[in-house]
Amino acid sequence: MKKQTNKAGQDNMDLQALKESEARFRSIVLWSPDAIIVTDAEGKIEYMNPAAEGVFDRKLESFIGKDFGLPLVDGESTEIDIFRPGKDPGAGDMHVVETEWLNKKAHLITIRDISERKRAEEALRESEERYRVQFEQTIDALFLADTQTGIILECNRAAMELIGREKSEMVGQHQRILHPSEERDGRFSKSFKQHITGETLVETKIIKKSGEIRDVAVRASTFDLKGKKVILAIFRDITERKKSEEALLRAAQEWRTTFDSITDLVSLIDREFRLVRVNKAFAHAFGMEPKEVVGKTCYELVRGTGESWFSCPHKKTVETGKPNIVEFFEPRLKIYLEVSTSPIFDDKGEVVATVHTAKDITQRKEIEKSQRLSQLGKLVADMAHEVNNPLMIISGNAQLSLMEGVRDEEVKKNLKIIFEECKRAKDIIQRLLKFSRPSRGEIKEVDINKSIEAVVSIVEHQFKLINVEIKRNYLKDPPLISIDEQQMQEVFMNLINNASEAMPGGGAITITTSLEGDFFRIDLKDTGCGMSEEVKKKLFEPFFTTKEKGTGLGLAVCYGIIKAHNGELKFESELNKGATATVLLPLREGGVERSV
Amino acid sequence: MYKILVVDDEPGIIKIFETFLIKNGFEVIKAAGGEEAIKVLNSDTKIDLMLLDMKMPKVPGIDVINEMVRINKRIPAIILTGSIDAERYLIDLKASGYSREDILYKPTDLFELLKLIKNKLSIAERLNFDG
Repeated sequence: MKKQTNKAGQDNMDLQALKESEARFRSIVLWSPDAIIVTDAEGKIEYMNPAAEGVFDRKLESFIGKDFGLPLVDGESTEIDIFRPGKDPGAGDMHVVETEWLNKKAHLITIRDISERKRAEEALRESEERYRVQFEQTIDALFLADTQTGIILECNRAAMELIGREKSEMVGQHQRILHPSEERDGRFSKSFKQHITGETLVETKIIKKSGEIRDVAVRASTFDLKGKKVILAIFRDITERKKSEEALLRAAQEWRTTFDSITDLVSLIDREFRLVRVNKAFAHAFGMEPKEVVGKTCYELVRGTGESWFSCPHKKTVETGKPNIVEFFEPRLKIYLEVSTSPIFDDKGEVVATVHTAKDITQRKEIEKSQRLSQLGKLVADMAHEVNNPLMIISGNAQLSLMEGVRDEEVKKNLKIIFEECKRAKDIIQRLLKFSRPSRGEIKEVDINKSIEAVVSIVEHQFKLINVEIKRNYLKDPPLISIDEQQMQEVFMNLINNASEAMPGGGAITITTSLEGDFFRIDLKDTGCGMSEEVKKKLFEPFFTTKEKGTGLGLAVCYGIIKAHNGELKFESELNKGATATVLLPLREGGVERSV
Repeated sequence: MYKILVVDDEPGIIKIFETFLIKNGFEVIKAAGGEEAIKVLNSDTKIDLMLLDMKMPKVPGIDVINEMVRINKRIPAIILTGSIDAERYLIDLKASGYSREDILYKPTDLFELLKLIKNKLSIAERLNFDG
């Protein structure tokens, strides 16, 4: 009974279970994301689930009873193309199982839509290909290496060209083979280590297979690839760039050096009189460095004034666009300057600046002066001869006439005047001749102190009568120097006489001898009336005199003699503050130049 | 009577010396330049003293001196110059037996010249100077 009951109950339960199971499977089929299709043995479609509609993008009714259209083999999985009208074709994974459907042989087909996955795969493949092409074709050399081992994993064509090795000679090798030994640091290259520690851009050198070394800039970054930390390094050959940079730098340096080695004072001055650029000589003339001078106005620096001076050549060049040149005496530097300015134009032809060159022409001026003197000397010598003969005739005839026993006192007096004036003319001419060709003595080694003392002893007694005292301040044990003593004593006599004549009311002459570098220095200081700037400028000019009976030749003669000894004659003086004459004579032997 | 040879390229100067020397009792022989002077020196004419101008065109005074040395005819001479060119030849002059004291500058004081002439002639007399 119980069993019966049980059996009946069992059947009920089975039916219930079957119903539930069917409902479960039905829902699986209905909700499955994969297309589920049933065909008969011949391939006619008998059933499709709703997902199939989506996969094929068509209504179910249009398929039922139609041929599936693909061979159906039990247990086979294939990838199929899915055509959707008006859309991109898709792809599916198809699996076929032979089964029974409504007691007939049938095929159960499941199709999973893999279109998205395929598209993603394709996109990845394309992207990889694109990167590969880029990697391969890029103009810079690329290397991919393992950050741990330093082994090169990949490189491109440009890398092969840069290093001059085949890919097979580099991939699998250590990255340090790319660099010359001086660029290595232990197992790795210096640049590799720098990159690993986070520097992105470094400059280094590579070595080609041929041994040639080239400069490169390397940019690198690290990232993970297939579980490894790798470094991608981009090498750019900068050898040529560096060369041209260096050439530029060198050229700039050469210019600077050239500019600075010019001994003239060169500056670039803009329209506003500002010093844009100056050379060392310019800056040093003002006790500064070029950097300190740039930016200042020229008149402020040179003249200490607030505006340019009236004959400023720079101003003229800016106004006219033409080069200019002026010569003048610079009283603060106590030199003669020749200043030239040349215009610099912009694209529109406007003067934007001038190149301003100041040249110390003091020496040239002195040479010109001594040339003028020697020319004058020659002229004087010729003239003296020409004048002396007629003078002889005048004087001789006057003397002969006087001998004739002239009775008229007036005539006698006149003849005497003629005779006396001829003598005076002769005196002047003799002095002129001395100036043109100073009398010569022998050149020998002389104790200058004794030489001066000999001159002093001649005049000292006479000086006492006019209250002129001579103070001696001689150098002890002076070195002997080679001079023409006779000529030099003429110089000292002249200078001492000049000093005493500058002190009509009496005073003192201090004679000091000393050494100054390669020169023997003699200073004659007086306490007389001194000289004005005007007088100082003309001091050595022949025939310039401040004395009533002077010929204006004394100092010109002294100057000539001292120049012939390769020495210097200078005067320091201010009006009413006395004067100091300084003679410098070279200590070295052979300092004397003789002229006929 | 002493015979004096006056050498100068300027006729005006020769005239003055001639007049003065004759007035003072000398006999004068004139040479209007170095060439004529050399001719006189090479002749038999006996000369006691020569007044010689240094700077003359063509043949200058120093050439006359050199010619004298060449023919070994030493005559006392007073060298007259308008310039300092005599100084330039001083070494040559010294080599020929003359000194700075034998030089007189133009224009010359005639009495100074006379003194020098007399002085030289008396020395020549004493030394029996060749002539």
